[in-house]
Amino acid sequence: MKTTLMKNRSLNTLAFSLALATSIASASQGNSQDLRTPIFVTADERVALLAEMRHFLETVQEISAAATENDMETVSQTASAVGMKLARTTPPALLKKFPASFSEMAASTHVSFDELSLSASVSDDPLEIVAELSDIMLICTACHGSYRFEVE
Amino acid sequence: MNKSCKLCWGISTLLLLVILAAGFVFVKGGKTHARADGRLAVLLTPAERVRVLGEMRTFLETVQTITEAIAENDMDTITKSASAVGMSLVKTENPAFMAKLPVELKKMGFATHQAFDDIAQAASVTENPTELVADLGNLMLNCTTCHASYRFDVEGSKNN
Repeated sequence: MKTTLMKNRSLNTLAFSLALATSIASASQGNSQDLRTPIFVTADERVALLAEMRHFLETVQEISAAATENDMETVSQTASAVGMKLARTTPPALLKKFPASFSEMAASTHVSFDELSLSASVSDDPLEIVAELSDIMLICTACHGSYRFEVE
Repeated sequence: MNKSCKLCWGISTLLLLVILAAGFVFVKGGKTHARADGRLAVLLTPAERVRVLGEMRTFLETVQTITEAIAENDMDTITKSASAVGMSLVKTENPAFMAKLPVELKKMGFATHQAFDDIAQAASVTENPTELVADLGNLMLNCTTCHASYRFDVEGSKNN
């Protein structure tokens, strides 16, 4: 039941993210100005946020490599490491600076990694993992197409 | 050797030196600046930075499209998406921008474009999607290595 609710929440967020990304990305095409919405943070917060996104990128790479080798244990552990337990380490002062739609996409990403971890613990089909990974990456592309971090 | 011939040789030598110097700068690339986050910053103009970040988002979107297409065994989409960001895209780059990139970054950039072409080629001959996941995983090692090593800054920006 809980898993179903989480999946529904993810799908709703995904639909919202896609709509947002499509409108903003089409507006940004061919512009020499960055039309993405700035989120103002301190210099240290920006460094931490960019590092966390690189961590996401590394996670996607590691999951792809592990799925190829049918190494579901590595998929599960790697995905779980960037799940909601990582989201809970974000300082409340930083969370207050995020627009609601950004917070929703971020939470959805962390929840989706937890779901992927769970899938890897029960599935032996690498393509099922790849399909879930592709859904998570839709949130990545939507968020990157919509927001940027600027030092306040 | 008459006077005009000497002049021709002089101009030719000068042109050759200019071409060699431009070639050296292009290959060697611009200077990088060490930043507190441990990465090396490449200084660009605001417009260049917007463009290159946009190009990287296109890479991310392409990886997502390919991942989705692999899951659906849609080899045609994989070939088309990967090919669109292959070496043909490199030819559209501005030489002045390329000259600012350090040689190691250029190598990773070229390797990434080439790897997309390789995936396009592989998708046109294989029926095994898992093989393409492996190729994509290898390609993404370029992304993670490059992002961990470099950043694009604009001189005087608060973000530096």
